[in-house]
Amino acid sequence: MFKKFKKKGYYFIIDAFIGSTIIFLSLMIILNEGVRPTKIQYNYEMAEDYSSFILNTQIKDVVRNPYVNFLVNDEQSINDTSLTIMNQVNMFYFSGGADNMDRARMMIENLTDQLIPEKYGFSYNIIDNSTTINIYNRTIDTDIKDAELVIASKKITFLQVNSTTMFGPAMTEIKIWI
Amino acid sequence: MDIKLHQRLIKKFNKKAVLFSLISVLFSVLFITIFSQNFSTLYEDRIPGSNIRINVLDVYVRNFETYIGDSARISTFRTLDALTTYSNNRHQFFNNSTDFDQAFSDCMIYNRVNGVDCGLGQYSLTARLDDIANLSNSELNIKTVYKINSVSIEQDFAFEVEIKVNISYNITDNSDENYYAKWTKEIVITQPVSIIGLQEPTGNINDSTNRYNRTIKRYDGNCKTNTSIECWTPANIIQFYQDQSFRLQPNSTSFLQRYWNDKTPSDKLGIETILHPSELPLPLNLNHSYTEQHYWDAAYTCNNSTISIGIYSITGDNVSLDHNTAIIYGLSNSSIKTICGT
Repeated sequence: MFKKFKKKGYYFIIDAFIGSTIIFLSLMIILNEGVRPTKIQYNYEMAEDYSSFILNTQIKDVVRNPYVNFLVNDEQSINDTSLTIMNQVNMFYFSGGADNMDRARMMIENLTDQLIPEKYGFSYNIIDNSTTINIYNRTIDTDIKDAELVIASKKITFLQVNSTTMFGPAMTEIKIWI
Repeated sequence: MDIKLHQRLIKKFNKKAVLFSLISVLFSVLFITIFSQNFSTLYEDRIPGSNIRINVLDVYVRNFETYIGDSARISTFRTLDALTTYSNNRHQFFNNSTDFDQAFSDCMIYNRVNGVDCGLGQYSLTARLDDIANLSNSELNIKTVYKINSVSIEQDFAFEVEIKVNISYNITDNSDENYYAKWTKEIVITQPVSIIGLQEPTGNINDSTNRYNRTIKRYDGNCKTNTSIECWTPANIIQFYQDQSFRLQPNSTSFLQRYWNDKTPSDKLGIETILHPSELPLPLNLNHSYTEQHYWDAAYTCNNSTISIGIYSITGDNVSLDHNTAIIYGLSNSSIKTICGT
């Protein structure tokens, strides 16, 4: 009789083990829920990601974009497709003139509008010798001054224009707000 | 209750318990799978905040090294022109390559040569690096401390020099240098610098009237590397002469050698051009060969007993050339207008 009861005891032990596993996994899920970072980090990283994209992506890698393609085919606009997007904007800015500023604005608009969710405002500025020059500004219902959250990502920017001239160092500032 | 009935009940309940347990496990797996998928797609779970700051510093460090390279190229170009101007003002070449190297290093780093401002202004390497260090400090809260250990210039190609900058730097997060990140590094940054567009040193230093101001331009027409007589037809030599450019010439000297007036032929780096009468100081000296490396030091003149000088008409200009050069460019005796001294 003792032997038979001992055999049944295994069922209880296994059952208890399965129960504990369920409790353990449930607790894991609940506790993990608590340590999630806040939404602020999400926005901040977004701004960093967009500025890294603009800093590192070469024009030749976005040449399928219709507007960029138009600028590349127009020899007066883009001569060197190995420049990054940020450097090309610097080149437009350094060259000066309303036409070049329009090209810079429209290039950033065409390259970022599809990427950035509509709910976010977006601006691209160059800070040159403490003067802020707005290259592109995408407004939403909320003005940046009234925004609940504004996240800026700054990158140092410069460009060797020719053998003797250099633009920068200056700052490129990308702001995202909601 | 007898023992048999008790055993049957236990057996019956155990079977049910195991069944319910298995169902629970299935539900658990289902929920975990659903939540895990959400977890992996949630953007905000990827990295903690401190890593973002480290990423900002990392991007800056990589940018900083690119910036040193770009600044070194521009400073080198400007320094070479500045040293031509400096030597022209003194009408004196550097004593030797060591003297030139020292002057180059002092001018490029500190904007000084022998205690004199060499005219680089904001384009000295120190000024360029100070700019980015100040900007990173004020805008990114990143502290940059650097030391330029040495700069050196070499030439391995006829129309290009190479600059090497040995630099140590220390970049730290100003907000809390113990908490985030710190980069300490010593590197040698090597950059090629084209000499196209630079003032040609020999003539600029020699000509005290500043009538000569030829800059380096690479000849890209016919016979640019060909030295055979057959290639140099009258049409080709006119093209080369009118272009006012330089071509590879093993019997000539390299660009850098010209700063210390070294006339040793440089087999792979030598460059040559033919001078125009209109750019030479007056009165014109038709007794000197107009090949640029020979004109200024009067290596070939009428008084030279071994090489004769002929005056050739090229596009109407009277151009004196030594016999050796005339042969290289396929100029026959029939095109000689006069022979020097006759």
